[in-house]
Amino acid sequence: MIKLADNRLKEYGKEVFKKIQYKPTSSSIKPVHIANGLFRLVLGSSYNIKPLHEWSTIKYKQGKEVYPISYIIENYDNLIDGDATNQQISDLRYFLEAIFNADKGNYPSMDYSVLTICSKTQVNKKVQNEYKMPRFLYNILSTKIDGQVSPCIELIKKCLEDESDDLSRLVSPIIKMVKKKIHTVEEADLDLTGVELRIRKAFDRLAYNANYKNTNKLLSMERIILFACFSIILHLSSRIIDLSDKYDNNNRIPILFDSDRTLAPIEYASQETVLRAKLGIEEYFENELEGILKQEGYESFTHKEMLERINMISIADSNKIKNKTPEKEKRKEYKKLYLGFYEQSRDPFDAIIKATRFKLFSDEYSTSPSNFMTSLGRKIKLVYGKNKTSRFSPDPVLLETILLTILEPDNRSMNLSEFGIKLWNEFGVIIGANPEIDFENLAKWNVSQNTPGDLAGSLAQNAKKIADMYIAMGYGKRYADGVTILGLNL
Amino acid sequence: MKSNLDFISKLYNNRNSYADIFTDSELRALHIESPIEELIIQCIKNKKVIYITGNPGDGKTHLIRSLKQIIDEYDAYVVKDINEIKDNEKFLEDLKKAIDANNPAIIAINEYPFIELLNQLGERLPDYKSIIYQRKNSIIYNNEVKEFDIHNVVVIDLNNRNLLSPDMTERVLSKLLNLSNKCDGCSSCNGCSSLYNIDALDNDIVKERLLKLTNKIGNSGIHIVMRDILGFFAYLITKGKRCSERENNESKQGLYYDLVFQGDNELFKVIKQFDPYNYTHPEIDENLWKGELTEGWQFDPPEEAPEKLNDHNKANEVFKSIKRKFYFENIRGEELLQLIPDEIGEYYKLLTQAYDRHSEKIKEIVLAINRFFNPNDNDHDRLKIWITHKYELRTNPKVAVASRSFPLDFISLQVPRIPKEFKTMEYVPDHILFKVVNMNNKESVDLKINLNFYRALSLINKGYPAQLIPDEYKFKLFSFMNELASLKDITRSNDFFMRDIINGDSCRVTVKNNKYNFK
Repeated sequence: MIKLADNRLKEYGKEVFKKIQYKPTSSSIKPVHIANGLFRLVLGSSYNIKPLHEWSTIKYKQGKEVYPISYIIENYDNLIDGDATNQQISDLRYFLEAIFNADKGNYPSMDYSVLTICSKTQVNKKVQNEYKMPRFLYNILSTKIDGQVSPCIELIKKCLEDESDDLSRLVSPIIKMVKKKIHTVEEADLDLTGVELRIRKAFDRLAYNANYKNTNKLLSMERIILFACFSIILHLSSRIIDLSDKYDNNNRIPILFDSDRTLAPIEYASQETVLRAKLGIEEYFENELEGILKQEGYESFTHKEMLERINMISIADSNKIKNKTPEKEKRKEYKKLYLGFYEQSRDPFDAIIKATRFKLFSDEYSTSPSNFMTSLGRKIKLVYGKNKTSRFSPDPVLLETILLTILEPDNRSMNLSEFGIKLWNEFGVIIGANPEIDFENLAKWNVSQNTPGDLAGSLAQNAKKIADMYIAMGYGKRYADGVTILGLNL
Repeated sequence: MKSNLDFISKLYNNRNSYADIFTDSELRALHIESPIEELIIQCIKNKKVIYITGNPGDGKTHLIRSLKQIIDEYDAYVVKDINEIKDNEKFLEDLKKAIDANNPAIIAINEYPFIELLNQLGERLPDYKSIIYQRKNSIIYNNEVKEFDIHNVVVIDLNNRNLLSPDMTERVLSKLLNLSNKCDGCSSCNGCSSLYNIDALDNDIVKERLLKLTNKIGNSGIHIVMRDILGFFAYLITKGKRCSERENNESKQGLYYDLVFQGDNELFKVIKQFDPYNYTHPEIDENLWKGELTEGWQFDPPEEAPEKLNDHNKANEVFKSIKRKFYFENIRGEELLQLIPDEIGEYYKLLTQAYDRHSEKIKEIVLAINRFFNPNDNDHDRLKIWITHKYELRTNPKVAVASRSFPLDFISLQVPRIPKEFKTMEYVPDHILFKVVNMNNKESVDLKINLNFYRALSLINKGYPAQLIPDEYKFKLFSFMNELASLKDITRSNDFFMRDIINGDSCRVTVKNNKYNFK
């Protein structure tokens, strides 16, 4: 029996996201939201961040300061010694805001706010913008492999429990007042496969390598969250490989890293891989949608029955939405989409899956999952450029983190060619370290077809430039016979 | 042996191995003795296994060829190029046989294949641990003492051989000049620039000025191999062209003082920064421009005065050439060398006089690092640790906070040197270590500073905006701070200094008894 909701399409979408395990439909999701959620789950507790939120929030609502200086003095007089002037207190608040709202996750309402977390007392309760991504990551980390959860969990706990860093010490008077709330967090017991298993192992390696050099806790936390965001992008774009019979499980969706945006063929090919990753997301969504629609009998509908189904399905906008589009008009568009896809495939089931996905992505979500990927990618400096010029061009800090997720703890160095092979196997990342193989891998996905200039030659140059970055950062050494070694403590 | 200039010209940027293009007698003629040979001879006599490692072009094969007599005499097991050995097991077997027969062994192996060999054979390779130890400690710092067991095996790393020592470069130049038979087989000597170049490069003043430049590069951290040096001098003599290719009308286009800054190999790339044309001396420049500087020339003074030329571009090119000629050939040329930016000169002094000026130089670097984070800082007595934190990379952190610091007692400057067992090898330091040691638990963090990094720090010291220094040095300084912050039990205070990196605003506050105090 089909349950008719106000907007059945959105219901389908919700069910798809249940299967995907998170909801990538907002460009407001920031790395710091993922940090807040993941850290809360790892700690099994959150804190009432009210005092620090009030000190570090200099915002206005309807022309009035949310927490004016008079409010701070009245409520926190016991934290201010002697005869501090209002200006001195304001100056301190300016800097506290710059530090604890460095990621712009602080809003007038504490319920939506997350702080730039330095230690456990800045971890807030669950906020909307987490969109279940932290739980997805925590499931991967807490699933036992060989009887062990990820060492990343212990590393995160250690970092958060350590309050000896300067930033935590700076706010020690304020955070003395915060209260702890315990949460019950269940460890997951998933059967990790494909990209999920590879993500887990990469997190494990990141944790093992974290303590190899003198690394401060803040940097360790930054790297974990950076890689967490990269993982979500990777999962979203390449999970389809694990799920669809169309693909060989050993294949990867290519992500071509453009070293410094000076090589035109690389720039173009990298843009194509962004589009390919977006297609991967669409296919992943459609794959899950297919399962859901099958359960509702869509698979057996004839073309005529499908049109009848479209006519009766409820797709009205929620009452909460301003400037609602009339349901009649929405249905017309939906039908038009269906007919367009049906014209191409003559397969009613395939056409309804595509039309439903298209309608959801283009009209129902403020940000489609594929646009979410580029939006989050820009925030971690993985994606550079806008719209059609978006390409994967990672920041050195991200490159550094990725290297730490690749190096095995028992062999912390490898040559550039081996690194290229590992990057492909683990993440589908191509840098050009093995130009012929990399070219073939791109060609398999038709990326090389329309690339202007000499892509194969540019791939080798691209790898050299990326190796140069690692060398400059102290993670690489080039020998005169052309071999570059990457690793720790070279 | 005297050779014609075609032979010399082949030394410049030939892609093939010298062993492939020169005959044995030519190679013997090219051989330049160095102290390292004596070290190897002693090792052969003492029946040791010698691994000569380094990079292509370092002269490993050539070194072995030059020692043929003693190698034969002691029936040494020789591997001229490990790449020629397809089977490592066979190599291991042959090596063990040589050791069992009490014969010496000499193995030339490039650095990366050496790493692979060590990984593959591991402890099955005789004296494996000693090899690993020698590789790891091929450079030591200051007064560090390392005990080397070189009883059975010696690893000679030619990477550490700095061929740009004044002594070695002079020997190479003299050798090539000696080999340059300027007239043999040449029918057009009269207009050939090589004639002039050979005479000029043999002049004591010209030679001294040229070697001063190459010596400066020796300290810059660039690895220059023998092939680069031979190619460099060969180009200065022949412009890399055979006699038949050098035509009479090229006589003024192939003069050594221009060629120094025109060739193409690692050495040329670096020497360009010392082009005298880049260093302005108002009085000398004006007189050269007007053609009024006619005294003090080793050879003929310049024929043209740039001022009198109508074509501005041509005048500029002529002036460039004249200024170079002035540096090498005029008695006052040395004055241009004095104009090399202070920080370069200071760096060379630092490498050579670090022990004497230890405290002064540490203070200078401490101040530069402090100013990288806070341009208004005048404190050179404590190295402050600046912390930033942010999860999103799209924008840089806005604020940095400092509350901890290291006093000067925790900091040392360390200059690299070669262990005493290998001290005969030509070595010139190319970097310094700025080392911070936690006195409580002896944990330490190093910052490796080469010439260009030192220049960047010097510029910051002088007020150059920190945002403008190259990203790789910014990254190094941030990483250095991160590592310093991880040192346990370091000196910390409850005084916090916060600085807005973008607008320069700052705020100081003390946390005492759980209260904020602004006094």
